[in-house]
Amino acid sequence: MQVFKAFLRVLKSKFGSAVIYIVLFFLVGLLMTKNGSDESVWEKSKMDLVIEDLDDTPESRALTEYISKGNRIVPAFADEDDLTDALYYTTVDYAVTIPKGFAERLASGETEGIFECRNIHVSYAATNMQMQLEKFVNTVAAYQALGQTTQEASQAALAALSDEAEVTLLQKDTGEKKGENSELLTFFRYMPYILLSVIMNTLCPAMVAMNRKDFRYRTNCSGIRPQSYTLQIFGASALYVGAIWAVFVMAGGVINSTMYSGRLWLAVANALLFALFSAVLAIFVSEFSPGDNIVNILTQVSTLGMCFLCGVFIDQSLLGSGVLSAAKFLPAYWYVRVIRMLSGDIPFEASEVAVALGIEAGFVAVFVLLAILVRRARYTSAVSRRVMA
Amino acid sequence: MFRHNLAYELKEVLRVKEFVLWLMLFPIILGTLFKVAFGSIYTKELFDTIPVAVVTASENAVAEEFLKGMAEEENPFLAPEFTDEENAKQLLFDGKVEGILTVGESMELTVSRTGIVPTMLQELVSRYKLYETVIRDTLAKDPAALQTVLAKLSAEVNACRDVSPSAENPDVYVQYFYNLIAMVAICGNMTGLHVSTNNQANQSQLGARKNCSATPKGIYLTAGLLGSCIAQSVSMVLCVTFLRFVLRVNFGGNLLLLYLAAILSGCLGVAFGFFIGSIGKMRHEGKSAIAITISMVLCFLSGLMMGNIKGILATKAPWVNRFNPVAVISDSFYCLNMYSDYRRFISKIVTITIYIAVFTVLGVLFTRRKKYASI
Repeated sequence: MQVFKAFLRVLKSKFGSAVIYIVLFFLVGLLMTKNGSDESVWEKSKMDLVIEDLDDTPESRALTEYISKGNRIVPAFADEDDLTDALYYTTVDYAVTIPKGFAERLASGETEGIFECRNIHVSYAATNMQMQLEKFVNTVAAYQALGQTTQEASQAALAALSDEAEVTLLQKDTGEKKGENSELLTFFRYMPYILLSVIMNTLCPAMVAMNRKDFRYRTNCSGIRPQSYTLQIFGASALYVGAIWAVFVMAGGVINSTMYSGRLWLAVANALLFALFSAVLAIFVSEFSPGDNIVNILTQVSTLGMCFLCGVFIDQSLLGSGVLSAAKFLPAYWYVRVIRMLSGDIPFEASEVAVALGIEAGFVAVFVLLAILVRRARYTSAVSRRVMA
Repeated sequence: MFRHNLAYELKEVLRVKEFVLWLMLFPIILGTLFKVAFGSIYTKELFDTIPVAVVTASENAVAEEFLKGMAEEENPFLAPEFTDEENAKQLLFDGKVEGILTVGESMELTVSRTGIVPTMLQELVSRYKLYETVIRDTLAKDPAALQTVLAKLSAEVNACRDVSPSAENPDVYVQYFYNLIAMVAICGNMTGLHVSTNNQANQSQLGARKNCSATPKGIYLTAGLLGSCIAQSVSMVLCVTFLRFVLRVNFGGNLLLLYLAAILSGCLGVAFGFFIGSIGKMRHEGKSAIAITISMVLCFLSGLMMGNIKGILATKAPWVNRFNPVAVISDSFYCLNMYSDYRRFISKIVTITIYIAVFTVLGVLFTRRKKYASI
């Protein structure tokens, strides 16, 4: 077990940066998962609005009450630039200013450009808000045509507009309520990035250290058989990866107090397979003995590239079909697909989950074989060449 | 003497393989991946006609007229597909329609998910119900006014005066490219680290030789930093040029100022690396790991991995965006795109310059008096 112990000792010295990643991911995971919601019951989508009522009349207050209903009201920004930033980053969907003289203009039937509106993206939320504002103006005008004063018409409009249509939420029977475990699944969705980052950044340098010439030569001339050496390295790697995976699974338990149940265990198994893939990828890369900085390049390119292409950071439904076709050749695509099935984004099919998990396992097997192949080609042939010489 | 040192510093930087790989290949590979992934996402998030299935349970001429009106506008709100209930459900589950409108005595909505599009469909059905309410009120109060009331209710109004800030490129996904440039800039810390390592006798053989030489420390340190800044500037120019002219990313704003911001940002990365490299007696590899980890955390907080994190931080902890050097760099590009006046851009450039000065001064202070005799 000498190799096993030595490898763990080397890993320990590389663990500092991993701790930073783990803590950061856990904090961000907590932050992100608070956004999860139960999608098994109908709930109107809330918009983030900034409403500035400069008129402050019963009419403007009626309008404010109408558009505030069911939405989140963000306090007005003191600085116009901050509002612009919020609109750009969509922390605010729409900003409406009800200018002074609004009630008078409404009374005179002058509705053209009666509000000042700000939005940057011609999004669904912005279009929806614009429709609501115009609906209010139309309804007030209709009640005015019935002979009501503007103030009465505003109140009547408010009452008429408060009658919302009922919506039936129809979901394919998957046995799992949509959004039921959205908090935990959001946490799992981002896990490939952190698993790859942590495992590659720590396992690669440790493996490279073990592959150093002096260490390798000493090991080669010792009594340890090559098979035993490889097994001990894989064993220590598996122990390390298992520990990392267990930390994340427990962190998931902290986020979701109900812990794991039912199909959620598939998400846990899915994460384990991806952790194993990260480990074998790290072992494969380290067989080429890259320097620390090269490891960093490969880590960043592979993690960021894979996560963006496969729908970890951006929902797969938004990615183009060409991108998704290419992503199918990467394990993160199948990982995310399982999570999407579990969260109800796409219909759950047990056979498809099995296929996805099988493909991930296939990637693990392929990279194990590649790692062994490269090891033999690089190190065995090097020894043979020296012997021949 | 200075020019000799500078020339050798430039040669040395170019011989550092990581420099070429990290700073030149990295934006090319990731930029291409970003372009492939984000190429057309933004347009999918913009409002487009909503496809719905319409099931007629019983004849309702008013409802049908209402739906036709919605589908025949200049920019139609709806794209209705009249079908039977079974097919409508299938279309809904297949994601080909956003909802099912069942038209009978009234109008009912069935959707398969929550979100803004189903909410808009709910608004639409509510609007139809509003017609019913207003007609009922009108018939109760003044039936003769029905035509006028209906005309007012369905009149096309342009109540919203658009005073939106003008963005040259409103595509929110372009910020990933801003962050990519910022990442390349902050990764210039590697060259800065080399300057620091190569000037300390306890860190490298080159440092030991330099310390023994007759060249004043100020000269080889300045030459090292300047050489690194020049090399880093070249990589920043290449990065921006590749993204702008090969991948055709529309950054918005004045391109020359974008180059200026990118070059200054690269110098910030060098100064940051020089500062990290000057602290303590840890080996180069250890300092490099620290610099990369800090850089990646700063990149994360700037939105390289999660685009909306900067917006979240702006509301929860705005000081993070203000002090995070990577966020300041990406903000400088964003300001060029969003603001026609250069007030905020200049403030970001000033902040970057202050960071360069602070990191350089601190680095110099830490390396001060580290002579062969004192290490």
